[in-house]
Amino acid sequence: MLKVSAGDSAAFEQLVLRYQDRLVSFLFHLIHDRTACEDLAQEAFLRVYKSRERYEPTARFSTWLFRIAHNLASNQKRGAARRREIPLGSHSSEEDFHRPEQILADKSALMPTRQLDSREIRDVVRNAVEELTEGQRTAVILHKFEEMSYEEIGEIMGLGTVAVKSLLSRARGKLKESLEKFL
Amino acid sequence: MTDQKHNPEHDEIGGAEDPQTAELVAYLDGELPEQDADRVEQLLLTNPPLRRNAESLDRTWQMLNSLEEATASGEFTQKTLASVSAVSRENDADRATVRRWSLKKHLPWSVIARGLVWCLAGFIACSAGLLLSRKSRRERTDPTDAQILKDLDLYQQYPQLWRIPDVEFLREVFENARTSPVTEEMP
Repeated sequence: MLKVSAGDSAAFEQLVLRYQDRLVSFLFHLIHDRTACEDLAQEAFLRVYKSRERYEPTARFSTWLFRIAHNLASNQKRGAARRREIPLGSHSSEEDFHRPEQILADKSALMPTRQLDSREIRDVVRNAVEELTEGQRTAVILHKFEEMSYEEIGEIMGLGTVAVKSLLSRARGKLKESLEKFL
Repeated sequence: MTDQKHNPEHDEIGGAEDPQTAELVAYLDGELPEQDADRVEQLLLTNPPLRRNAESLDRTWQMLNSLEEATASGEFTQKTLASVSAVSRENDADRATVRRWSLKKHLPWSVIARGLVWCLAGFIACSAGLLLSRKSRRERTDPTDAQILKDLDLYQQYPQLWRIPDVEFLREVFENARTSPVTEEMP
């Protein structure tokens, strides 16, 4: 990133290549729309480039990049919620979108002994993650898939370590509640 | 669960929380200090329900591995780099404009003074050229017309002269007057 700050365009290309998959994956877990998540990832890289001269190596680059992406995703969700006149945090639109999967999960819940195939398990898990609040979901994704520490998650989400601990504890409690019948 | 869905902010961070689960989760996440981790391990050995809870938390956490992953598409890198270079070009153009304006703003006084002197010199040269051209035009005027202009006062004093048919007639009168002396009539 220091090379990028100095105007090295080849270094910026290396940065994009190194982080693009992680960033797209993170955003995909949050918004489940491939086109939208690529647009947001592109915007995040663009913002990094625009503010490259202001970059100070006090935090890890990945933390900075994910913080930008997290803010973009939150703003997009907020904007979409406002446009649809749905209160922030309500997941009703997502629930509508995933209704068949929800029905499948409900059916599966009625038949605990039935062996679920991998696709069904994936849908059930996805629904369980969707049930989490936005903050919980972000913390879970960063911890599970990016293997970030509580401190790094806190830096990305603008929270203290204790708050992150609390978020993850509640999230895992909820996931256990939703998923243990499928174990 | 339903309450949480309708009021997601409620249990996001604050509110009631099971401290044992929080500690267990922090232990599973490897976020507990060594001393606390040792204590939790001892508890797990002696407390079967707690152990079952930990196992359940761990196994449901592992279920997240089944979630669909996404990677960047083939064109992502090129698209991103293209958008970045477009922004870069825009920035360069903006900077060039700003530089031009700041150059205009900060022109040295000597340059401004030199410009004014050149303007003044140009004005003087134009004025002189105009005067000279007017003078030469005046000199080039037809002599007959010049004579008429010269005699304009005379025409004005003696309006009957306007009845004279043309200049040739006057010339003739003038020549005759020169060759033959005029005899003054006695009253």
